[in-house]
Amino acid sequence: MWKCRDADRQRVETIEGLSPNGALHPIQQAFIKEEGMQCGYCVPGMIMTTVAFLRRNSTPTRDQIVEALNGNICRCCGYGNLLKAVERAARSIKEAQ
Amino acid sequence: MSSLKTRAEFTEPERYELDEGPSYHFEISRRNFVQVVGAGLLISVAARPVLAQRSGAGGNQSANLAERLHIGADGQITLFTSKVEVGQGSRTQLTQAAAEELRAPVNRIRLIMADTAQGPNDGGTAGSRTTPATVPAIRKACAAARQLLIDTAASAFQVDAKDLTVQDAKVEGLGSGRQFSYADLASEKHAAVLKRQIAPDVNVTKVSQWRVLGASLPRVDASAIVTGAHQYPSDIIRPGMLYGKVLRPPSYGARLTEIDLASANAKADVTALRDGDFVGFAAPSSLAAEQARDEAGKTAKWTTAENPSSDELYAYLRAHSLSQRPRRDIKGSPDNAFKNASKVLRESCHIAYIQHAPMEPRAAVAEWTDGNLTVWTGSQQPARVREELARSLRVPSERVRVIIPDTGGGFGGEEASCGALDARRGIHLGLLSPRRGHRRRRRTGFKRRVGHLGTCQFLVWGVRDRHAIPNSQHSHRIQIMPIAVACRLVSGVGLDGQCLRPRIDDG
Repeated sequence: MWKCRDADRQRVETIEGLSPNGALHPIQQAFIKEEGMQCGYCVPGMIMTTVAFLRRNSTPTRDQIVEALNGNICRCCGYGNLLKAVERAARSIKEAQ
Repeated sequence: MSSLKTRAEFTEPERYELDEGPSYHFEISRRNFVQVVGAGLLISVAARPVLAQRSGAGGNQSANLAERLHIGADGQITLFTSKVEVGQGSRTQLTQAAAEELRAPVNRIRLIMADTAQGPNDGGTAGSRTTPATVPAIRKACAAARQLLIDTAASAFQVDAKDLTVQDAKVEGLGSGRQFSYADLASEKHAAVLKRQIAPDVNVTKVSQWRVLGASLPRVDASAIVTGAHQYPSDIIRPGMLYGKVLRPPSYGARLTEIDLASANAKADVTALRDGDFVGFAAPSSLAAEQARDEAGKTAKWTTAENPSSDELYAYLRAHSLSQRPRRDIKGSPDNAFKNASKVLRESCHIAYIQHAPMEPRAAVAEWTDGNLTVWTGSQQPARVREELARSLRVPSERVRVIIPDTGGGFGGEEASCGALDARRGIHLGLLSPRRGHRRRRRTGFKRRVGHLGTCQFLVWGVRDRHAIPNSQHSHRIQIMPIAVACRLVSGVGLDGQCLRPRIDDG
């Protein structure tokens, strides 16, 4: 978590930049596939956290995923599918490499 | 005891379900309706009152002819419902229901939800009623449309309708080289055929023959959600929009005795107004409105009211609950059943303070255009919000349109709107409320007892003395403040400590 002022002059990636050509990012695809959403309001945050997390750790355990997403809240309590989505995303990114 | 109906008797009511709504008739002008969806065919299907939810839940029991379905000349099919999508998946489910009965691809179907200017009033979205009530209504309308397609094709090509089926939005069985689709149905050529009324007793597809309904389908809104493209109520921005902030009282029941708004109003872009205990601020940016509020808030003097402490709360509620309201859904005599029970188990428990807190901050955007008001907000009760706005603003409800974009969580708390508007200049104002300012609800104490008679059979399941009080920020009551200046602000304001009545059998 960063303060906005610390992002000054930094490169910032947002959910809008994840699929610039319209082709969904593997993480976005995984979220659809596992239905990692209910109202979906938390999903951009979940996805962007996952983007950063999987860059650091491409073969995460379930516990590590929980730890990484711990700062993101889903008030619909759709955590089961969200975790599955991250696992699927990690697998598909790995397979594509 | 095992039937759904019996279980439903003890379904906890939402606050708004206990509030008797006004009886009004929802009508839509055909002309306006067609303007919204463009040229094509509107299909009316007689809707039985069962479509409406149980009384008090916002359904219009007297609704009869309901415009449900529009077929575009391009074959695009648009369905309408007053139900909202708050994450429960109704948008996908209702689209599936339509695709099933129309025999059309899911992507050919568009669902317009919760826009009071369009479509029938299916009631609010609560109590898990969309599946049992609205899915059948959608199926029926779409099955009627499919039958109309077949009948029209049969008469156009002089073949027996019994030999025809519909697949992939086209009629099958017409013979080679012959085509007839929903787009053809909506064309001018068949306009005369389409004027007839559709029977309400149309046959829907048997469950055993379902292909789309009941299947696991990717959510129709999934791409928009994962790309951040979806617009929640808090994403709605209108040209020239102002942002509104409300000064909240420091505690429940606090009265405002003094506040200095002169310095706020002296700022070029800020409008501040007070009406009783309500103080609202409007400015071109959220930050400016917030700063104006915080500055003026420092000058506010409040008289706080006596409130029971958390420790005293249960006793307070017990002492202050209003007299019992007779329940229509009690069957038999619970008193006798308990009297005759061989064993009665009693249990008391208290439930902690509950506050709904969806991820999305509650938001509302209001826009006046030529004396007509359009409000975008998060709510599970679009028709009720419309009615309350009309009442509060003293305008005919025909002049109020409420649109509920798919919302970032509901949980039974998205039941009203707070919005703000500038009447004089015809510009728009959005209000994004901080979470702490939102609806709180106490659901605090209940006792239950279970009567047991000889054989292992539960006789009575009673919940008694359930109390609930909303606090000062209960958003169900919308109060639109009269104005001395250009700005009118809309906000959820309290219920003056009104307690809900305990709602079950004897003491």
